[in-house]
Amino acid sequence: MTNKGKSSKKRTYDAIVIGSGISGGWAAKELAEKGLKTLILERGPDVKHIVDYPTTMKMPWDFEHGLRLPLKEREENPIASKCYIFNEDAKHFVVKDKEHPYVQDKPFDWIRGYQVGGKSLLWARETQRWSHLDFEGPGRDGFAVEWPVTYDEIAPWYSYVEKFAGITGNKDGLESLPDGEFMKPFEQSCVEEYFDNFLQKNYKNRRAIIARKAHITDPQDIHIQQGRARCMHRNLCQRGCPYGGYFSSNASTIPWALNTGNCTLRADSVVQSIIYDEQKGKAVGVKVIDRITKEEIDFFADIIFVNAAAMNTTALLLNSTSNRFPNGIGNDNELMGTHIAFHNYRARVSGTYEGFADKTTSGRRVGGSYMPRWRNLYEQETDFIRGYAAGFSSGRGEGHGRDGVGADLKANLMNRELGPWHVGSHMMGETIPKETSRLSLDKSKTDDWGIPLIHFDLDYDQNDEKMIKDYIETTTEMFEKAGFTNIKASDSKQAPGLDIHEMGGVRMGKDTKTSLLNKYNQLHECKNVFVTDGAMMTSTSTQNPSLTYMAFTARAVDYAVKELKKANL
Amino acid sequence: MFRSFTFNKMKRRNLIKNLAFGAVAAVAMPTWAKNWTASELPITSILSANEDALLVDIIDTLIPKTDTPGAIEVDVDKFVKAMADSMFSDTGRKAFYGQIPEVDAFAKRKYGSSFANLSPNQKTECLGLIEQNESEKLSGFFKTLKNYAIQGYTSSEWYMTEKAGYEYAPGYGYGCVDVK
Repeated sequence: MTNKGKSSKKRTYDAIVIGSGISGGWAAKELAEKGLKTLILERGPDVKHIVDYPTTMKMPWDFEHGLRLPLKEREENPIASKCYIFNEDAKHFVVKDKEHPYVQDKPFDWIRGYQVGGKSLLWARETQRWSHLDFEGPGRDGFAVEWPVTYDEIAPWYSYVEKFAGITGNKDGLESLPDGEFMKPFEQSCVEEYFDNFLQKNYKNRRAIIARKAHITDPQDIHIQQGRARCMHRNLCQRGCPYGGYFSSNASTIPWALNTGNCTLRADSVVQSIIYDEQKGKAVGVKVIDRITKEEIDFFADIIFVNAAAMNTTALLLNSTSNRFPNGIGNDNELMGTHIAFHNYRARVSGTYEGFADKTTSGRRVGGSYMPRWRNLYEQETDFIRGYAAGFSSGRGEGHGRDGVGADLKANLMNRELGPWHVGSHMMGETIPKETSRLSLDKSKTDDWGIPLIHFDLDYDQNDEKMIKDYIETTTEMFEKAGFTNIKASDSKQAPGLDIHEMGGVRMGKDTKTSLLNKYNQLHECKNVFVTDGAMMTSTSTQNPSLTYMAFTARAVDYAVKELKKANL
Repeated sequence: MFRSFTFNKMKRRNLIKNLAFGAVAAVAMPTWAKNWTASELPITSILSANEDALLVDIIDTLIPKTDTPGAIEVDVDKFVKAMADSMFSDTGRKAFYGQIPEVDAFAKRKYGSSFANLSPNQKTECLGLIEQNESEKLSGFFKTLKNYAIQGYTSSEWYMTEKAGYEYAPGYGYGCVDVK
């Protein structure tokens, strides 16, 4: 299919979705279910559920180098190599440095997944709702702009996506982390449960609850209809799950959308820009460069959902220029690309615990516990604003001696002993979106598809540094008080980006002068373009963001289709 | 990949069968199932036949066959070479392999005989001495070799399934059970 001849009718749909990751998959599912002829454009190759998970059934001993990548491959990919996913078993799902260059005005480790399903194949699957305290954050503490949506407005959409995606969790009844539609929870370890009890006895608003995750623990009809089964506790999620035990676009929303008969998936389609029609005063389609042939092809639709991943979505909109929008589509106030933020994952605290010597874990646990944000929760308590959540997990490892040679060494290797309980915590800090934290397009350098390279210019600030200090001090104090020993704290000093929670660039807001998207994720200035991935985020709070993208996407589609039927778009 | 036993083909077949039934039926037989057999490991080692034999001998001495499989039986020598071939810089790799003849030289100095001709007890003792050797190059080589050999052995199919209780898909993750 090309632009030549009279094929433009064939290239016309009701809706186009740019991107097939966690939010694009949801947009496609919702649009197609509501009867719209929908085209999903994905820049990378197709990854079909199960069929295209080449390593998923491999045993640990099937890998040539015990999962570690050869030095040459690591040296060729200094950025990707920083990511914990970039190993022998999942490297094919991670973008290689050289193939997709970008410019770091300040260090930014950008981890990407360019394939059908995007990073939904690779995510950590943590799914906590935001609470009203999170949505009210910018308003209360006077940063960024106010969210145009309240918790009560988004709550039913959280429920809606949770039921379909399949979320495991415990109803903990916390105001700061609202309960959702949960299947039965995973189990906490003895030490996690002990630590939670310790926190409840000694502190206000501090808990260590079992992580809420997008794993199926008790398949419901809706999951069986998707062809998904119970999580088998392999803990090999990053390879793609043959059981569909965790939520990914590949296992869930994309096949669901395709099964409606209303949806077409076109892989290898790099979207260069959105086409704006000056006469109609709206977007009419998108310009695609075929990834392989480099051929240019236009596709047309009434509504366009941009779900290319936060930074790519922002760049794509900036690159969509016209007479009406010389600075990028919907960017009259020139704030597009600014106020980018992320999560501060720099610090960790670890230790050991001598209690529960007669207890251990069994099988394989999928994740650990979660400490919802407690700092500055109801009022300002510290010399920094906002706060951090933390992962908390504990387990016992089995080890063996390594001394000797020959029969002596062998005897040591055969004598496996259970080690002590180890405990570990890592921070997930809210960072403040600032006008100076920005992404821009290079004026001359382009990638292999002729699209301008992205510049990153953002960094940690004093608020982040104070928060790291507080996290380390507070966590160390809690660990000591709880009786943990060998406590060690560290600050990785990792660059922004490695948290893989980059957000913002096309933020939502109430005022067209200070934001780009309205409360239904429409560009203020071009109402048939919707942005529902991480680019929309007004602030970051501390929760892993994917569940929130899903909820906003489903809500935006519902609105878009109603508006389309009213001929308002 | 290279450390597979024939009995395991049966296990894998069962696994795939279980998967096909356990997950939902509409799933077609995936391509990886057809390509399941182990692929050949690209050995780019720069070793001569003699050096290669010596390396195998060293590894065999380090983790010998007793009432349980030895290192060679579970292809640890191939694993060590795969790691040495790919985890070092060019200089590092040459330096590593360059120490193999030094083991022979050490044996000749100490016992007046090549390593291969030592008795099994002497071989074990010889490696013990090398581990404590004042030459950092030689003891450093040995430490690296030992680390990779232990990694290869303890991640072999035999060790993981028979000794470490590895389960591919346990289906559960209990948080607090009695230590057996």
